Amino acid sequence: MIHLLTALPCEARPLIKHYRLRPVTPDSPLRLHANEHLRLAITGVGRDNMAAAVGYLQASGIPREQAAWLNIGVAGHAHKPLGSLGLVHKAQDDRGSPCFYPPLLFHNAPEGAELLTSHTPVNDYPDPHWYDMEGYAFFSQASRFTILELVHALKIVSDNRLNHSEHVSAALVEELVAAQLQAIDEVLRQLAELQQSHADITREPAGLQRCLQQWHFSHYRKKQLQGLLYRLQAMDEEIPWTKLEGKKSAAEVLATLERHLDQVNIVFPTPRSMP
Amino acid sequence: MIDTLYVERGIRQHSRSQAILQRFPAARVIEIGHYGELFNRHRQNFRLQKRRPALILARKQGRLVLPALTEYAIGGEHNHYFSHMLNCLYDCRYCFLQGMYRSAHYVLFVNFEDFARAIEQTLAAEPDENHYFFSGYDCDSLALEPVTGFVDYFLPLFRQHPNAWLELRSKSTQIRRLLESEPLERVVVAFSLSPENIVQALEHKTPSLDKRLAAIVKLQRQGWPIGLRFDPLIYHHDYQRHYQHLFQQVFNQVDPTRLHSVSLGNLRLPEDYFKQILRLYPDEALFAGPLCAHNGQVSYRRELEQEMLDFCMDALRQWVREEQLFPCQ
Ligand code: SF4
Repeated sequence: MIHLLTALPCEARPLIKHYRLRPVTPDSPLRLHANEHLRLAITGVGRDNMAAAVGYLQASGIPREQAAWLNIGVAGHAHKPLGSLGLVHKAQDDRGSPCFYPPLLFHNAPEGAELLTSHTPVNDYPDPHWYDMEGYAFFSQASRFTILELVHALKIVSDNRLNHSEHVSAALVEELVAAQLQAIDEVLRQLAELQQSHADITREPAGLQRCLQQWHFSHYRKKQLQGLLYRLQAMDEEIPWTKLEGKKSAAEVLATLERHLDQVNIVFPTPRSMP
Repeated sequence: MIDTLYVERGIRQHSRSQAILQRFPAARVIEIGHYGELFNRHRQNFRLQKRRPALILARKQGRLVLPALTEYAIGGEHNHYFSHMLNCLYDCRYCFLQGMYRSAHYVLFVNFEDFARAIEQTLAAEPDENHYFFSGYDCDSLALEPVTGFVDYFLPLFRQHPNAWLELRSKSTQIRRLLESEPLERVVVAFSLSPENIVQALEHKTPSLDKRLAAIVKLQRQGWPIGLRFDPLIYHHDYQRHYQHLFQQVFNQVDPTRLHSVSLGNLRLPEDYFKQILRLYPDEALFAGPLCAHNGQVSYRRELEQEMLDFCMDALRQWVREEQLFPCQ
């Protein structure tokens, strides 16, 4: 699942249409739209709204390891043409908080953007930053809930020194976002792939739930069980359910699995060149 | 290969930084204050980052030369290490760096001059003693040579000081600069070797055993002192056959009489690093082996370690003189 966050409805509309997102939870304090893979929230402008929206999405029941986060929104820049797309590679705020450097694992990533989130609108756009009002809050909140590799922001230039922000209309923003859908698609595809890899790494070993249902494990023993089941998995070994039949306690289960593992050979395949 | 470069503001104008930036004209360059801002940040995933590590150019501060662990010693009494780089191009599953660092980005400390000064101060402190310096503790000494220019810079320094020894520890075949230089008897090029099945299963992205052997042969022919490092010894089914075959392959090509040293090492990981690595690779066969924790270190059971060490030492004695052999305990 990817949590998509936009500050404005006009930023969200092209995404809702393109990804065929449906409104969800009409009684929620946030405007949410979703499909099977994406959940989009329209957060409202500013860092407090963004921070609250991230918190709300996190609490909405998707396990941490199964979610990635993407903020899409417009930004100002001194001289980049309207519609330019940037993947944020450095995010800072105007209070001097520590910078975020989202690890860039994308192939053919869009141009990099050094984002400065300001709590008031910026009209002179000092170089080299891209300016917005919520990106930093997005990074600082979302990165509390997952690894930095899965938290990213895409910014699209909507205003610059020649086209000031007061001339930016909702229709223009919609147009600018719509024009970047192909690039957004590609970032989403790669982000989903990364998220899946992370989910695979953190996936619990096969057989864990069945064991937990059958026997009572303390927290400590559950960890031991998990370790043993991972070891079986690593050795491509089936869980020896028949040996576990009739075991009365978690301790007996663990001891049986230990004994079983001790008899399994660690094999690293022999190369063909070896006699 | 490298498409993102982070550069500390303070060393951006350093000639070495400038040369590296020019080498990657298409890379995105991101200015940072201190490398720790991103390298030490919590909530990074080393395994995912390893897919596309960035290069961080930084200045090394603080103590630049440190005492080396005794198990690194190859005959000298005064052993030191210095790390011009953190992290490695390769991806060996047993590598402690994956447990030690939160980030897989490569950090290159470009202030070689400060390392040189620290090395010279160390030498000057005890000028009548031989000092051994190890450069491959937090990285592979040679793997990024074309980018770092490490050999180019440090060889002349070690040439100047008759009591200074250097070990370059590597699995790399980046030996061009060495081949272009006059061999120096106090610079040991030490290659880490494992049976080919271990190379394939655990030493990801490294040159094959054959390629490493070819590099060793070239260097040895030219007169460079060579060290062989069978480290770490990896337990697996039929390990004796695999190690015996490895030694055969090695000594079919390498002249044992001209070797500087041969050392063996056990698999040892600090327990905290091991836990971290296990979180990254819970389904790795290496960690399903007969490992146990003892005194804060994870290793094979003592008697198994000893059995492997004894077997390999015995096997190696067919080719190598006792004084060339350094079993790490
Ligand atoms: S070559 Fe050495 S430093 Fe590099 S990954 Fe392998 S063990 Fe680690």
